Parts: sequence; structure tokens; C-alpha cells
Amino acid sequence: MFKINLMTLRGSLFYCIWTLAIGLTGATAQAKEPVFVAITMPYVDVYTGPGKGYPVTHVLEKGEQVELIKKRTGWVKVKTRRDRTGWIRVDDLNQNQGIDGETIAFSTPTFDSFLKRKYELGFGFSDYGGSDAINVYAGWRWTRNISVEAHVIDVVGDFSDAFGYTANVVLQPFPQWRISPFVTLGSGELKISPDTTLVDTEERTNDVLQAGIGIYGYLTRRFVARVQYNNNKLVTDRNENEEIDEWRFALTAFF
Amino acid sequence: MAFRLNCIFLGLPIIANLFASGVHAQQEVLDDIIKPDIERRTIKESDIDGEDFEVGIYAGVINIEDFGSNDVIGLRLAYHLTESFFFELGAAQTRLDETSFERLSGDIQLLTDDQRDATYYNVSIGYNILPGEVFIGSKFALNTSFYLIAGVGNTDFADEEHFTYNFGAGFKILPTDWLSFRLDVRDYLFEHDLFGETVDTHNIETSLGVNIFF
Repeated sequence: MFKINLMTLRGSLFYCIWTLAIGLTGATAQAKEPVFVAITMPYVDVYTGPGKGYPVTHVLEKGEQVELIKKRTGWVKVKTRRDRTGWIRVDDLNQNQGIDGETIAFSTPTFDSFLKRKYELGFGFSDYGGSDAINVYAGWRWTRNISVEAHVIDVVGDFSDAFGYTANVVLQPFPQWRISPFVTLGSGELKISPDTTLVDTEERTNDVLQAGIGIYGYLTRRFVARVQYNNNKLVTDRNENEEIDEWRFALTAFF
Repeated sequence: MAFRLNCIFLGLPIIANLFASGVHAQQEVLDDIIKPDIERRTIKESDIDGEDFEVGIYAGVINIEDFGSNDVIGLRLAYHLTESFFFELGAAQTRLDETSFERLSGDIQLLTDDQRDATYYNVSIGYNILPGEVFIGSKFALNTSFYLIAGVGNTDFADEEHFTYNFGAGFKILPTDWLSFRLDVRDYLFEHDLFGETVDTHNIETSLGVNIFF
């Protein structure tokens, strides 16, 4: 009885390891298959690091086959058949072919990619009614002209600090211009906490309505700059609503 | 006759099926020959791993003006836009010492215990200005980079927030592609009015850190 049990146990253990092994090999196979390319250019410079400032230590010759290991910014790490590794430019890589004749199409971000962008991620600083502020935002481009954005702002004032967020819709009427205007409407909340040294230290949270106008300026690669004026209306329970002018400068990366 | 018709009607679909399966089999043979050639026509960046992000921890000493030099520990997250430019998000915490006045005057304390806990965060942009190599003996060369960095942030202590500019430079050594050791010197500029009048302060931080790319 005991023997049988032991056998069954061993059997299930083997089964377990076997399925695990299959599962794991399946998983690694799924992760990423090695990609090989054949050099069709006369030669390609190989740098020791992903940057033009690093030295060129060897060259890939025409007809050589190399494996692509990984990409960082505009550079790709390659491994030769003799296990030498180094970095080559994406622009150089694109002029060669896969070993089965595939074309290589690694993208280098240009103004064209800005026109086709899906996401934006930016940060910057603003003058928020005379106080300094830090802002961070993420955007998703819905159509050619319309995007939706989420903004977070941290205001550091002399007498009070504030932290807020807004959800915005951005309309860009001429997206194809390198310097392109936009208008935005948003709403959110602002939590204001007066400094403790003042008598009235009660925190308050106000709804915010925001209307803004600004320009995008394409800089280079994945960079755009944004300059923007916002008119913020704080909805208070007093007789008058508060109005805050805000000038905002942001550096943005797009994807 | 009826029997014969029946035979035809019943037989037809079978023949048709046989024929179809013959065609099917033929198609399979053709697939085997043709498919591998049309499987991948272009190689794109999504076919290989990308490593544009960096995450790391750092520890060092920060000198907050009037409050002495204190240990600081922090986290960083960076995104490399190009080989030269990167965005960096950093956050750290430290504790303030007593001011000279507090130490000399005996019992007088300007800040409570809680108020001495200081935290800051910042968003910055960096530029790898001097990439290069260092050599260990005659066999090993490690990639390095000297970079400049500047940004804006918020420093929170004594129940007050202080808008903070930061400027600095750093040096990193990469033993492998995905690991880097860094030495950073950063100046944090903010103004405060804890002692009555508003003063601009320069607060210098030196730190050692380790980062990994992913």
C-alpha cells in the first residue's frame, strides 16, 4: 500500500515538474523570441554605450549576422556570433535587413510622430495667482483635434498652500502646425490649507472651473513645450467666487 | 429507382465531402510551404526589450541652512527621452538638527519634534553632457556619464511647504548596461520666514545612489 502511494506521489511529482517545465519553456518562448538581423550596409559602427560620446570599438561587416538584445532611446544593443556586444544607432540598424529578408522599421521620433501621438506626459511650474506651483499632467489624444488630460497642481504660497487636480478637454484647431494653439476647459478640486502661523487654520476644499488658452511648440525628438494661461474660478460658499489667474510652463514628452 | 436516387442523394454529400477534404489537405500542404515566409515582414522595436526607465535609491547628507547637516535618504525614477535628455522624479526625507541658537540658549525650542521631519520631492530635467569611460587596470573599461540636472519641487518642514528650485550635477558609472552607481551634488533653493524675516536659503546635498534600468 505504502509502495503504491509512494509511486503515485512520485508520479504526480514528476507530472508536476513536467507541466511546470512545459509551462516555463512556453512562457520564455512567449516572452520574446531572439531577433537576428543581417548587415547589408558596407559596415556599421559599434559603440561601447548607448550614446554618440562613447567610443567605437569595432565594426559590423557586410554579411554578418547579429542578434538584437535591447533598445534604449535611439540605440540598440547587439550581440555578434562571437559573443561581442555593443550598441548601434537605430538609424544605422534600419538600413539593414532581417535574416529572412524582413525590413527593419524602428521608429525615431520626429515631428511626424508628434502628429500621430497617443499620449502626453508633462511637468512644469506655474505662477498661480502670485504663488509658485508645480504641475504634472498626463494626456490621451482622442481624435486629431481633441485630447483629454488629467492635471495635478501643488501650490506653495506665502500664506497658504494648496493641492488640486483638474480633468480637462483640450481642443487643438491646427494640430499640423509646429507652433500650434489650443484651448482647454476643465473642472476639479482645490484643497487649500492656510499656514499654521495664521489665526484661521481651517482647511477648505473648493470646486474649480478652469478655462485656458495656450500654445504647443515642438522642440525635438519626443519633446514639446507648452505655455498656457488658465483662468481658474473657485466656487465658494461665500457671496463671491474667487478668481485666480495662472501662467503655466510645461515640458512634455509624447508617445 | 427510389433506391438508386436515395443512393445518389446520400452519396453526393459524401463525395463532396471527400473532395473538399482533399482540397483542404492540399491547402494544408501549401500552408506548410508558404506560411513561414509571410509570418514576419518587418522587425519593430516591440520585438525586443526596451530599457528607457531607471529606478533607484540614494543616501547622503543634506545641509539645511541653520539646521545642520543631516542624513537624507530618497528614491528616484527617471525616463530617458534621448541619449542626452532625461526626466527625473525624486523624493526624500531627512530630519532637522537644532539650530545654534537652540543649542546655546538651553531650553528654548523653535520647532517641535514633528516639525523637524522634513520631506521633499522634485521633478527635474537632466542632460548627459560628458559621456565617457573609466578604466580599471588594463582589462576593464566601464561606461560613465557626467550630467547636469535642474528642476522644481516642494520641501515640507515645520508645517510649511517651500517651493524649491534645484540645480546640480552628477557622475554615474555603469558596471553593466542595466546598473549604475551615482554620485550627486545638488543645491536646493527655497525661501522661508521661520525666523521672522524672509530669507533665501541654499541647501547642499551630496549623495551616493544605485539605479537599475528597466
